[in-house]
Amino acid sequence: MDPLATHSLPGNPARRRWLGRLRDGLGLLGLIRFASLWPSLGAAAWPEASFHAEKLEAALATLGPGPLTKDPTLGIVAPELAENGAVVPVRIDTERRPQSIAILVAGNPVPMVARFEFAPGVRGHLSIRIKMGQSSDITVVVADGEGLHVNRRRVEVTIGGCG
Amino acid sequence: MDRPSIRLRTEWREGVCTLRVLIKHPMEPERVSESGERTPSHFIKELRFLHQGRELLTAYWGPGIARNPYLEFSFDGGSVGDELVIEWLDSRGERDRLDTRLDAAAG
Repeated sequence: MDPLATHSLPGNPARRRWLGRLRDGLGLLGLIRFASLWPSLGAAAWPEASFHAEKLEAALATLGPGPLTKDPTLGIVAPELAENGAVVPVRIDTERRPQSIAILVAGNPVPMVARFEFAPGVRGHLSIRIKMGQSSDITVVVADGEGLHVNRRRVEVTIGGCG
Repeated sequence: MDRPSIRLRTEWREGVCTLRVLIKHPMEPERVSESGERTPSHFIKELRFLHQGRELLTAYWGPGIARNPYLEFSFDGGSVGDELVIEWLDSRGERDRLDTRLDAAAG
């Protein structure tokens, strides 16, 4: 099934979202991905540059060329004090309809923890359990047709959980 | 895989389907012992959900996801009985896949 065909109906809100994606430059990657008709897992889709970045800023830069806009409405629920950094539950809530969400931890040896790509019907809510090597900010970046939205949440870690 | 690694629970609220997925996987970062012996990392790199044959959500992960990964998310437009495929691929090239249908309640 070709998703482009169903998303190209004139006046369809999904089509406008598509055009927004193309405009923001991030969308080009998405187009290539969708146009390839679900390549099998492992078809070079894993964003290597994101996970090879050793610093938070470098990892953030791999998310796209646009500026990061602070979004206080982007909810990040995590414990203020995590006794065990090996399992830190994180919940992300946004009323936006994300095209993608990235989770980063500045204090980890690999700051990029996860990147998610969403189909249009997926809500802006995620729960996941991550590792934190030390006390640090959790940084979340939500990409939608308007750009890149960022928020942070500090977590104090008693026993680091990356090694 | 001698046993299914992927467990799924489904919940519905006002037409919104929530998927809760638990995967059995060590999610190990690279380790270097004091003697310099290197143990390569072993973690799920890609996790994909296909709903009715179409991509719903794809996750790209590094070693920073906790052992036995848990993921919860919600989506519109699903119906009980719809086809759902969940598949993952890890850094060693191992993979697993669950072919199922959306359950009315607990899966």
